Amino acid sequence: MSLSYKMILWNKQKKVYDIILFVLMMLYIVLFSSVTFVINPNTTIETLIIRAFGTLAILMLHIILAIGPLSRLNSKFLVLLYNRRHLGVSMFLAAFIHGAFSLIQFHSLGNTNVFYSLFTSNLDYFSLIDFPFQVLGFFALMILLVMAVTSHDFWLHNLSPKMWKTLHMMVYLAYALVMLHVFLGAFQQESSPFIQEVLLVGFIFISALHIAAAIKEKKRDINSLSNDGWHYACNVDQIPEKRAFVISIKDERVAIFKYDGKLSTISNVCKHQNGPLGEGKIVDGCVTCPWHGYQYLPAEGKAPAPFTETLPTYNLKLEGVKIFVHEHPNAEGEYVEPLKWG
Amino acid sequence: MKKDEFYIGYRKSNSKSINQFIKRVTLLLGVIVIFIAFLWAFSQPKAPESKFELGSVIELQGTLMMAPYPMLRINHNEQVGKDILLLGFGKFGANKPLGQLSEQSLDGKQLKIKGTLIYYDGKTLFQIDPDIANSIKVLQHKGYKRISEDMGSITLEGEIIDPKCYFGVMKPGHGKIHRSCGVRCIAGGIPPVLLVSNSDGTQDYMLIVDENNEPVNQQVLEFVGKPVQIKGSLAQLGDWLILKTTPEKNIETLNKKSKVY
Repeated sequence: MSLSYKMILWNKQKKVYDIILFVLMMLYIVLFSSVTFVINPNTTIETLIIRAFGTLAILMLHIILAIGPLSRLNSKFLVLLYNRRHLGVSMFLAAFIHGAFSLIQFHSLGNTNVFYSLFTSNLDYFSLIDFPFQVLGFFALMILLVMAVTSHDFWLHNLSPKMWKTLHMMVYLAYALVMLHVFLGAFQQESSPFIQEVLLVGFIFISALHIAAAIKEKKRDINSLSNDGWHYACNVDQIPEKRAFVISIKDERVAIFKYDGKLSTISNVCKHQNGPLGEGKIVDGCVTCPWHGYQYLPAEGKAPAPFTETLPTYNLKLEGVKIFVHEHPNAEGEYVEPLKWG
Repeated sequence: MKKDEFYIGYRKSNSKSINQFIKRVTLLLGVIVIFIAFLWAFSQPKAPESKFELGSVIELQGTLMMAPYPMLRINHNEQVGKDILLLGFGKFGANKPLGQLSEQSLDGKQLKIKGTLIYYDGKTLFQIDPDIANSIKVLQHKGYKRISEDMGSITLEGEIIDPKCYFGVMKPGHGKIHRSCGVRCIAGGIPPVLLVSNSDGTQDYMLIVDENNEPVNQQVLEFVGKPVQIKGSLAQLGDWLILKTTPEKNIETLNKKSKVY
């Protein structure tokens, strides 16, 4: 979609998103700090910073992980997904402040290098209770760093969407490391039930959302049956105008769009971030991805000029009102005459 | 939002219902942020009233006692005085700055030292100012000698802490969260202290040495910040209790939760 790379292509909605994000982050830091100083005035400023930004990062990580499945379960939440990367980078910055202050507080001004100290001060790597939990936080932060650095579309295109997606799925590994970091660290010493319960509820909430979204996806992924290479998809009236019906053919999702009395079929996978095109809509004559608004001409699977992304198209046939899709994809960007109906 | 409304993030405006949804989500997130900030801030354990007078440099005058760990003895009169444990800057003991000052032993000499006070629960420590050349003045030999009073054999349960953090620099300055810092501090020469929590809520603090009254910093590192049992003999040296032990033989980790936590 972008012809040249700029740091951020600002638009009004991005600015609103970032302003809301900044205000909510500041609200958390100010409230946490104020309450701490009122009820716990002996807290040191370093400890306050470590705790405020650490807990903020955990809260933000939960919100980030909830957005994906929420959007799959209810398309209303796509408004949160569009600029999710800004949320991710902001969460990394909060985690970085927590990590940097912890590293300085616990390991600097000593008789050895701070990183050597991080890995060797506590050598109980084979004990669960005494495990050096700071190391887990360090690796989680490194994953978040790689994700934040590669969050720009420049890296998405240079690494390839598949590689980029795989890299960014490591957020789940980071989440597991963060939870272990907290449970084997702070919880071993400061076992406030409120913190434990909130994180437990958060873990259950995130897990339940992912399971629910996976069940919904699984139902869609039941491969259709073939008759001489033609797969029955649905009846014409099952597809809303300017929307799509998605079927799975040989483990590949295919989206059949209905628009202006015509039917066209393209791959369901957007070239940008593998977004689900079948959950998109025909806008201005183009299939529009629900994630970031990337567009494709439905009959040829090509992004409108001057953009260059292309997708495989599929042949269709109608038997009465029944729509059939041929299992062999055409070349990316190959024009297929739209099927007229009615 | 109507069923077929569709959000595109780069458009200048949204439909009314999408904007209403954004407002509702923002409000919900605001409520979550306020709730969690309050809940987690209230859930923190109380920080102790320990004090590190960061930024306040004062000058103390007293007699330097090097063994087993450097202390400054300040005599108020012939019977009453205070033994202030000396510490270096950062995660170092006092031997480093004192060693930089003179190749000859300063033990027993009267000194004026600039630095920063650390104090809590009746114990006072003093971080020597890092500008060593201007922070220590050596006066005459005073000839003061402390007498150690043996208190017999003992077996104690507690936690080995680094006193610099525990008595004021960090909160918390003990336990698992602080363990790696405690290890770094003790490895850098800060005296190891056994913290024992009594059933009446009070605490006792003992400087740990070996049977020859020598520092044991390197020998106790693996036990720092864990509940331990130590067998040894106890002595009173000025304001401080001294626990003599053989760390390799007489310290063991306990498989239970520390009372300090």
